[in-house]
Amino acid sequence: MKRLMAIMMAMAMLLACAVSAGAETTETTGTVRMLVAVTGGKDDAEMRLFEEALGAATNLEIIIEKPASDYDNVLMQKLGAGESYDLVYMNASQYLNLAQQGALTDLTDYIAASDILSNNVPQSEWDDLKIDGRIYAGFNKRECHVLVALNKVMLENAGIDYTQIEPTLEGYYEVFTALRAANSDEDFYPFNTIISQAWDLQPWMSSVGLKGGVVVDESDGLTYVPYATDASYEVWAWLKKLYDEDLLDPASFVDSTTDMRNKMSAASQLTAVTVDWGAWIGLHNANALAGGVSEDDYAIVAMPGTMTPDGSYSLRKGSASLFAVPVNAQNVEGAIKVLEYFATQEGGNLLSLGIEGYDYTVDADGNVTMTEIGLAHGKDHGAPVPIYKDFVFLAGLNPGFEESLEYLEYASIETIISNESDYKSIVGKWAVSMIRGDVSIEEGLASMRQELVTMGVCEK
Amino acid sequence: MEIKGMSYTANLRRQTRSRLKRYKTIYLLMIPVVAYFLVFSYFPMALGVFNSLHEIKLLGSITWVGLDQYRAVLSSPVYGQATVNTLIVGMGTFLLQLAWGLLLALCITELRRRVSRSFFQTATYIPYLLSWAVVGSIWIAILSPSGMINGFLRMIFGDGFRRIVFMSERSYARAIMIFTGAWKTAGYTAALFLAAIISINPSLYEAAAIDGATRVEQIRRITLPSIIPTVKVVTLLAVMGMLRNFDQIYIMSNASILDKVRNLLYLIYMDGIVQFKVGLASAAACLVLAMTLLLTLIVRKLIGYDRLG
Repeated sequence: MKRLMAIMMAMAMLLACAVSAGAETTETTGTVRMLVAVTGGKDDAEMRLFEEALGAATNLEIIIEKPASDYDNVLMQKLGAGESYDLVYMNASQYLNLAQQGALTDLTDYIAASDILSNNVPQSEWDDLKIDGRIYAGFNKRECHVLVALNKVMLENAGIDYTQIEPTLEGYYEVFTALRAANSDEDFYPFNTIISQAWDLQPWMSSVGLKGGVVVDESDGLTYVPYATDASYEVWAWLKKLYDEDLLDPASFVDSTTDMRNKMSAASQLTAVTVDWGAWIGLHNANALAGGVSEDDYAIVAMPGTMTPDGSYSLRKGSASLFAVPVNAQNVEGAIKVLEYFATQEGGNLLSLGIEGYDYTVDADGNVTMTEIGLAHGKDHGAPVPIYKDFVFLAGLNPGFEESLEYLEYASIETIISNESDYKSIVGKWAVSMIRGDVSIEEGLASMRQELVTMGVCEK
Repeated sequence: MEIKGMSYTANLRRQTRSRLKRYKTIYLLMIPVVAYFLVFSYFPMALGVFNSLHEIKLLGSITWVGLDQYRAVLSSPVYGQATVNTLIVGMGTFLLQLAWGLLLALCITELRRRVSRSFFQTATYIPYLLSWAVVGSIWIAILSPSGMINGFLRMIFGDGFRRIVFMSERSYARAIMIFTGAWKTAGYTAALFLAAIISINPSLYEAAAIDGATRVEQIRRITLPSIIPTVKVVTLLAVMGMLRNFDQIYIMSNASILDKVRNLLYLIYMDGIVQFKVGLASAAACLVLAMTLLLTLIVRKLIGYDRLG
């Protein structure tokens, strides 16, 4: 009897295991391992939900690794140790370096064969990624542009209608002067910018028709840096004038983007005009509303800066944020499938709004409502603006961001170079010296050019 | 003990076997420690030397280049300037930290109340425990245009005083790195000196007092000579770490002052991690290792380290 009971119990347990295993197993067509920096959930729990959602949509088992910090270091160590990932997040500079080393899979033929990747992503975006005619990565998101952010309420208090600002250096000088006169706080400066990284000068350099980064001179085929040419003199002189007259925050020489954004925020308002990503214009407004500050007291608006000599605008678009397939990837087809999903409306929803039922809900009429968690996540799970060219923002855009997108047509990317850090540090260093008056602008420009050539950033 | 009639080699072998047998427990206990150093110190070092002699691709083949990467580092003006910066900031930090730590230790020993002594010792030690991310942020804020130093200067010179952006002034850059580096480590150095001062025989001070020596004379004639071995240890430790400062420069530098403070490890990080030039970075790292060894040997000889008395 005892033996019979034992046998029956064992059989029951085996049966239960088989049923549960059968119930839990979902048939997938493979596994895709991803190394990401900004994509996915904001914490471990949400990351698991993100993996499930992405896996369900692509019929793949998705495994995502997201280092807590120091992504560049982790990326280098993982790849150097030969660890196998199917998709790896990287910036444009890393993309160029790794493609030149032969570490990335050539995706050109995969992209050409994919209706989704070919038709859902603008061809201009693919063209920007070509290295000797070949493409080695897909997109994490659509890059937006950097443009002038203005505190509308402060401008109104200074008697300025931001839509009527003359789009010239002199016009903005008048704005800064009026802002200074209207605000007696000794810590307030009308204008703050990140001089030391040459990060956000394009809206001003456009007044003299210059583009940022490294450019090829078509007359002799040599590369040069327009910001270092004598043609940029007027802009550097204007920035020096702003500094001399206390209109430019002297902390611009050392401030990081975090410092700049803190000064622009509703909580401090120590500056009224900066240059920042369009998404950040929206974030400032969203954060203020979430903190109970009304639009009557704080509102950030976007403007394209100064006009080019031929009557247009010239803005800088962010360098691409990409997903590449390393040459030791185990599932290239699976990786392509994920890239295709990211280039659809549904994929864009996942990368922006987040997970349905967690970050947002959809009612019977298809209306999207953000949950409290979703609002706290700022509708950004790696791609506040997805790469899909016809993407519809189901939950709307943060106030100010939509307005900034109107100027996207004027934006273009800078040429990708492998030593971008050298470019920024050299231009930034001489920019500070010229603006502060340590050297004359002529000397500063000459020294900048010489050092850029010496360090191999450009050829003349 | 040698056995007559047995060759030297045979005797040596026999003695070795006997020693191993006698101390086998100790040798067994040493295995994990030796294994740890082999795996986590010497193997990576050997790999670094290997990488320095090859052009390394993160994924894919590697190419033998011999000493080309060493030549590239040695002939690079950027690396040359970084070496100068490293030595100036390193040496300056060491000297200031030594003097500051010693002064702190002497002051703390003069405190009569134990509570005060413990409080000041703890307070001065805390910066050493903080990471450079915290210390750097603190000093960047203090030195910012709206920070404490500028506020103090405006109090002295009035509202017409133009704020100084200290962290962008090339002439202050090295001094700032030296000062903040010494500020962070002075408490640690003071703790080492305190331990040495406390171990001095008190009867020496009593005898000196009876002979009419002032407190300053006692410090000069008794305290300072007695802690010379500790000074030698501190000096050697500082020299060994002098070329390895990375965090401070990474956190506190910016484009305006970079070429005044950019040091070897910062360059190695930029080349190896940011630009994936693993071979070049490894060659530079091997040179830093060689320089550290050379510097340590020279300083050890100069200070007579082996004569600890």
